[in-house]
Amino acid sequence: MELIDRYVYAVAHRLPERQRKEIERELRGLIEDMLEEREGNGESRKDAVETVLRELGDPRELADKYRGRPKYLLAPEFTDAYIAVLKVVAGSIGLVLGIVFVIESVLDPWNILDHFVDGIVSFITVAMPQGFAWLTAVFMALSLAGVDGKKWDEYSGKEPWSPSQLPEVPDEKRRIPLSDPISSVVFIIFFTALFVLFSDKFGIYLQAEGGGRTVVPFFSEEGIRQYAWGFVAVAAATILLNVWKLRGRRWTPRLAWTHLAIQTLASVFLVFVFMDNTVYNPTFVDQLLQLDFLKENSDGVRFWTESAKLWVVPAVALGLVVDVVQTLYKTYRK
Amino acid sequence: MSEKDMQELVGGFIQELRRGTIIIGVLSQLSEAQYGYSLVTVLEEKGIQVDPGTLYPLLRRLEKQGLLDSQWDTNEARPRKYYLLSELGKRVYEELCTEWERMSAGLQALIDSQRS
Repeated sequence: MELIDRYVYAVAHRLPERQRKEIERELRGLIEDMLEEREGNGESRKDAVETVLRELGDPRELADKYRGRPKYLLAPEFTDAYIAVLKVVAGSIGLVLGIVFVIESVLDPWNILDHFVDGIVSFITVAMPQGFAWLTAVFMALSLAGVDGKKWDEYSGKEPWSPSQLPEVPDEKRRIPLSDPISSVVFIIFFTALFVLFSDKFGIYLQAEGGGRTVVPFFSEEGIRQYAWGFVAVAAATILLNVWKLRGRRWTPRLAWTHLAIQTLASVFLVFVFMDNTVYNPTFVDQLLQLDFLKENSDGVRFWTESAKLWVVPAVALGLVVDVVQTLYKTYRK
Repeated sequence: MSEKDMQELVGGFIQELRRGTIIIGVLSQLSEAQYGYSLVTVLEEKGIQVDPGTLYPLLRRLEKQGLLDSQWDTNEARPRKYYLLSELGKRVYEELCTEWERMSAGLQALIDSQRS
């Protein structure tokens, strides 16, 4: 009977290979038994088959019952972990591409729009699909292998749940928004790379006589280099501090005072560096004159470029004061 | 809520009750070997309705969990898989029975106390 074959197949092909044969045999037996009873009541075989199969119901549901749980690609227990890791992956990819964009733009500010479009395009067409595909593949493999989150906890000796593990209810007033540490890290990496690695490319870009571009840097590469250790130290301290912020996500007195200590040291360092005459490009004005950017060699221009550094102290001091007030307010307000 | 909606709700609850108790019904009849459909008939005669599409997968599961032993009988016209309580199955059944009696007595007392 063709309809019975089709039904048995519809159930069996949804089941694991090694169970198929036996379940098929049992199912056929069952259908025959059920038919026998119907036909005994005088029903025609065709009608009886129809009724019996209807009674057994949707083959998909019957297969699910044999399997014990519905079919899945990603085990339901993994859903939370999957979403959490997906967020981290998307965030990291975005962060890396953002940093690449910023560095490219500094090196070649003429094509900033191209860099931006490139960044977006590679995020959408390459980086995210790749990240998504690999992550999903890993979780599918874990699900397929039947890795069980509970068993994993047992093996790794994780303590059973107790009320003391409950995280604190987040304090909205002292909460650190995610954007704060992330933008700090992006900024400090950008800033450090600019001064330590690309100080010779940070300046005013002009058309050179040959038609190419030339840059008149603001700073002297050798002058900045002697402070490279300080920039790197400030960056390292800032990144560590922001890792702390990311983990706690709330302002505590300890975090606040560490933050202020690092900011103060960094400010002192910046003032120290930018008050040092040797960090500036000594021939800045001369180069601009040579390239016809400045038309006349006036004392006024020289005076202004040389006194520009005097603004560093009040600017850094103002930034520090604002930061101190903000941080203390966020930490100690009631 | 319409009458039909209410009937649907009741149907769902009854299904849950059946799902929980069917194992006791099945184990109770398997101190002698039976095949799936004969079990359906026996249970139905005693007023316990069971859908073969539920019973067959359940028998396999209980076998996998070690509560039942099974054997194919290929002598008859139709090959049939016979199931029988294992030693473990017997002990599990005893415990389930004790718990069931305790539960149904408790529920009965609750229902009676409301009615009187």
